[in-house]
Amino acid sequence: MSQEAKVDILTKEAFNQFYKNELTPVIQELERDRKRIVGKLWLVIFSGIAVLVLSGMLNRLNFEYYIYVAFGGVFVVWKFFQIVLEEEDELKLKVKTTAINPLIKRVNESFKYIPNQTIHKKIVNEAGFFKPKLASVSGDDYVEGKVYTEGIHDTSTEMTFCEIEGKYSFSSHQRTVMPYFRGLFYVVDFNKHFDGHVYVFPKKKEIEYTLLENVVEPDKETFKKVELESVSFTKLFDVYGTDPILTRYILTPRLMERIEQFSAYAMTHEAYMTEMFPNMSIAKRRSLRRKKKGYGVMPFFSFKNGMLYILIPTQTKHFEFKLMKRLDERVFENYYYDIILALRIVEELNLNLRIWTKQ
Amino acid sequence: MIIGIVIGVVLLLLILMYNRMKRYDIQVERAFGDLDAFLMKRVDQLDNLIQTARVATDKEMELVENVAGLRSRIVNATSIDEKVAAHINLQSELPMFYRTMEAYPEVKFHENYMLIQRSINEIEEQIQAARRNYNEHVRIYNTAITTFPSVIIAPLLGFKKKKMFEISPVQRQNVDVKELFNR
Repeated sequence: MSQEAKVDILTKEAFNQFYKNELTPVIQELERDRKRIVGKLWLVIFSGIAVLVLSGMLNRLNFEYYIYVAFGGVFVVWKFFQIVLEEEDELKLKVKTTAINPLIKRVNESFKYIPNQTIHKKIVNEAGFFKPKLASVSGDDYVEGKVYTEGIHDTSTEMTFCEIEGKYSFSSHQRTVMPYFRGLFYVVDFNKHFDGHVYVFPKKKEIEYTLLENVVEPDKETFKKVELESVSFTKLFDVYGTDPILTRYILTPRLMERIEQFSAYAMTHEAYMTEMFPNMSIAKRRSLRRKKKGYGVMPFFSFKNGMLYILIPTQTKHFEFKLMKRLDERVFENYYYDIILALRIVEELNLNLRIWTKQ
Repeated sequence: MIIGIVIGVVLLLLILMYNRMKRYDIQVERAFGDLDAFLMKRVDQLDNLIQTARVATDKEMELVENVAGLRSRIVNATSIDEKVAAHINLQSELPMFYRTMEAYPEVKFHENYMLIQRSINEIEEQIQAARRNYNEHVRIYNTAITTFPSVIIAPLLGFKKKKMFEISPVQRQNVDVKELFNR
């Protein structure tokens, strides 16, 4: 895959072309299936209503067995309803295997997509974003693979990502778990070797509506707040590190710039917005986000022992198939946006430039 | 009585200001210690590089000898300012030094040379980080002694403005990662 082809992949044109040439017949078939299931669902709903009305009428006519008719009718309707639900699950899986999987492969051939797998809780907790640690992690749409860059030295960066939902319990004795967050989680092999831990968190005002503002405070004994030189960067992020030199070793002026650029992109979770306004400032995106629900949030970064963990707590379901929502270009464009974000992590943060001792 | 209280308050303020400036001064020294450790690591690796070049080729390389001379100036420097100046001198010679070394294929493709070069590249990044850390502490210290009221008593207590470890734009360009990558 050439550098030029990769640049193309990041554009809306690349998606449109792929959608038109490859996905349209698949989506049309999936849409037919969806409509068929929706039709069955309506039939089940009307049958249920009909059973209830009929039972009521029989009761009024003093038909002594009306209760049997009611229960029998409800039982039959319930059975049909279960069948419809099973068909919906089958369609969900079909959407993932016949449409999302080729979309992921189109973005990067080396990506392996496992629809029903998630990143292990231990890895999510290893990133150390939250206090207390997560009691459970659920999710699906697991992707793993390498992002290649061809150049003088062919390099690649290993990464995994998926949609996750984290939950925590109030104490180790309590079994009740509460939802923490939902979003995209990326594990990326960083291009420098280091031992230590550095957090880059959005400022509190940036995360107040994500409900995470009280759980992302690093341990004050281990981590010290580091003031970096970049004024624009420190306006957006708070940086905490186990060592100030390590923090600066990781966060070079160039990387800080790149993190700003990447964050501006990640903040827009509507693919068309990014294409229409590629140079929109973070301030403008922030004001748009306030006006319209659905705009993205700033990412959280955790650099730990040679790895980079990125959390984007969008609080929404990604790669989500909704039975009552028409399957069209727009739905898949949003999926496409989530997938190319992974490429942007590597390309915009320049992680494939690894001339250091890390191989 | 009132005069006594006033003198007491002034003395207390003086002590607090002195402690504050001293604390920043110590932090600058500590930051320089960290930076110096990385700079010396680079000097040691340059030693190894020079040894490798001598083994790989019998030819005399004048520039290599110059760098060896600059190295001894760093080792013999006693104050922070002297060390900073010596390191800046060495830094300015490095791009030419690398180019000279790599003019000899027997050196350039020597396995040891490539390994040491890679290690130096990493140390350069660490030096940049430590240099930024040192400059940040110098900035805090300089701000502390040049703002009111510390500015009045700082010179009396022997606190002087410290120099930042700045690299000129030309030198910065010379140690540019991309350039090293393209070599």
